[in-house]
Amino acid sequence: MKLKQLAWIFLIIPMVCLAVQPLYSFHSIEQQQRFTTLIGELRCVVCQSQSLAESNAPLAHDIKQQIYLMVQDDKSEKMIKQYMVDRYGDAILYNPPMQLNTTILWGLPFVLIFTVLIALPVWVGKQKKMVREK
Amino acid sequence: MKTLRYCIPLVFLVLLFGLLWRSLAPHDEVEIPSTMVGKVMPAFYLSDLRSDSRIIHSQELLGTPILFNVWATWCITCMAEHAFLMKIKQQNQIRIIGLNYRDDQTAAQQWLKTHGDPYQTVLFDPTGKTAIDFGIYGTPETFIIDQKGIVRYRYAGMLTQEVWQTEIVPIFAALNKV
Repeated sequence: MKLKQLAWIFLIIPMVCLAVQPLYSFHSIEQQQRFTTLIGELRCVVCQSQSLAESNAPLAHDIKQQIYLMVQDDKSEKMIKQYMVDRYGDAILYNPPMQLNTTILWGLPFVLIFTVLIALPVWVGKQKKMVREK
Repeated sequence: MKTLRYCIPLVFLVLLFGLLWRSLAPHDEVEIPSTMVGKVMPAFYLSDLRSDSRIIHSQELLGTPILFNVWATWCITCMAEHAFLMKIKQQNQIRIIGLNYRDDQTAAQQWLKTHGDPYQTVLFDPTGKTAIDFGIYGTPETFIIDQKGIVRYRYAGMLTQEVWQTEIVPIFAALNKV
């Protein structure tokens, strides 16, 4: 009896849950991959810490549907992203583009690394000299 | 001098804690600035909420500046905003166009009958396709669209007397002067 209940919990219920997921069918695996990539890289603008793929918000469903139609229409990844940026701005991209207003975001890590790379030998040299002098 | 140098990591530590503390506190989601402002409003063909047989093209709405309000019956904030829109309607100076978003047509018609109808025209967008074109991410949202169809302003959230006086009235005043 217990085993049967466990079987229900661990086998049957997950199967049913999988079965009710919305199905998007594509002409090719390439299209499906494009769709999966896009919904993973675009933000759900309502629930901002989730991607479209993770979100269940109604707006996320609408946008996914729109992406689905565009992928079926064989629109490229770049075109679809541009379509969304035109409407929702850069905020919809999880991966921020390299442009003028994101210079600090992209540049600062390199600046910090270079500063450390240059400062470290100088500092170590100083310390060595101090030890020697002692 | 030496003590000052020891203070530098401390300053960084305090800054880091400040940052972490801020993200711990409950905060609203960041408001997404509209990409539509300054652009021509997206073109659409939508059916009239009040009668299915009438299809409205976006161009038909132009001529004088409009207040373009996105709403739905399932949106509680829209209900709260509704009384204010009725007040604006009574002043009878501004055309209010509604975009009924992801809604049930009968429910929406009934809603307007029960609570009053501030809209000159209500467009019916059950799939939310036009809403995506407008970059809408929540309801209510309100746009000001000028006589030529250029979006001048977007407000996300509930309209209040204060927002109306400080933000919206000046824009309409400027548009009507032209």
